[in-house]
Amino acid sequence: MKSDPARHDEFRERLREAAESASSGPGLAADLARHVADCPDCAEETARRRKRVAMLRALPRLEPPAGLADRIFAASLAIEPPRHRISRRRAVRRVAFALPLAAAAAVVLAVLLREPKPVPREIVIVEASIEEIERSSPFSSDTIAKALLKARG
Amino acid sequence: MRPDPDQALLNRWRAGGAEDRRAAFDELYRRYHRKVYSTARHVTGDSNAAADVTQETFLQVFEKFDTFESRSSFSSWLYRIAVNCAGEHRRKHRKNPVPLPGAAATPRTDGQAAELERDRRRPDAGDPAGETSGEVQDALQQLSPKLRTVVVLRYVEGLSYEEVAEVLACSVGTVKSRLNRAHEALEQWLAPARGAAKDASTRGM
Repeated sequence: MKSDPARHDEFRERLREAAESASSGPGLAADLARHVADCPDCAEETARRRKRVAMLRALPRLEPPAGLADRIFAASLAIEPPRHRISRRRAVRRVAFALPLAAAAAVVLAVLLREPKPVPREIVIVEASIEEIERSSPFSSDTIAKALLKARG
Repeated sequence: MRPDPDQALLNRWRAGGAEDRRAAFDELYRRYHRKVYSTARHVTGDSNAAADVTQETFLQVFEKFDTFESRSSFSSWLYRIAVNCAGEHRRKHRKNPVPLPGAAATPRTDGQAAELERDRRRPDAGDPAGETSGEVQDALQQLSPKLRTVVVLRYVEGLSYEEVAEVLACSVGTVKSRLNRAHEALEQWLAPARGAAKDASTRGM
């Protein structure tokens, strides 16, 4: 089956993309392969582009000269950046994050301050007879007497 | 967004004291100085300019690090600074405008020519009908800085379309369009060389 000539521009774009892939990658899609077989211009351009891409990729990574690192470190020592300098955007974000936390902390503090402090109870020693104690307590006179004896040792 | 491979170092820089920042800077320099220098060298076509651009790039990283907000990867941010520094260097030292295709190539000093020759690889120097690596490298220097930068980032540095777009703050479509224009320009530069090589090959038969 022949390639559709009306789709030449579309095929050419796709062939350019395909030429970007590594030469060891998957082959062309069937419709592209048909177009390459039918269109000498696209076949030549694709082959040249694929080869040129491979050569550009093979260009060497060029090595920096000796001494460049020392030069850069020496220059960087002169420009120690400010310790806490932050961008305006980050500062706004930090404030937005910190505000609710600060509000929550304030509420907790207020609650703690309002908590009534325990008042030390005054101990009052009152002389009373066993009968008087019995009237104001749920215990019998025998129980009260035993407790008093125990307390006195 | 993918996790940044430099995240641990970035955290150390942000959270630490002066010693931590210095250690993080040293490590980032160790990881990236070759990439920055090589990019600058290919983009500027000159070793002295590339050294200046590399120095300026890392000093800007040191100075501006607190403004880096991780909206892109650290490497994309670094490449962007390097590309901008290369552009700034070119504007400051604009002496030899890039010639149009078909015009005589920019004259080079003997030192520059020897340097380029030393840097070349010629894996297919014996192919009379093909383009040699040296010719491709020469042709690369004839591209406009904008097109040359895209070609270097995409092919020499091996960045994806998306990464190149992030570095250059443009769309992926713009990256593809510039690459197509770069190939067309390279084709114009390389076609005469190919024809001359074919003629020489034919005469030699």
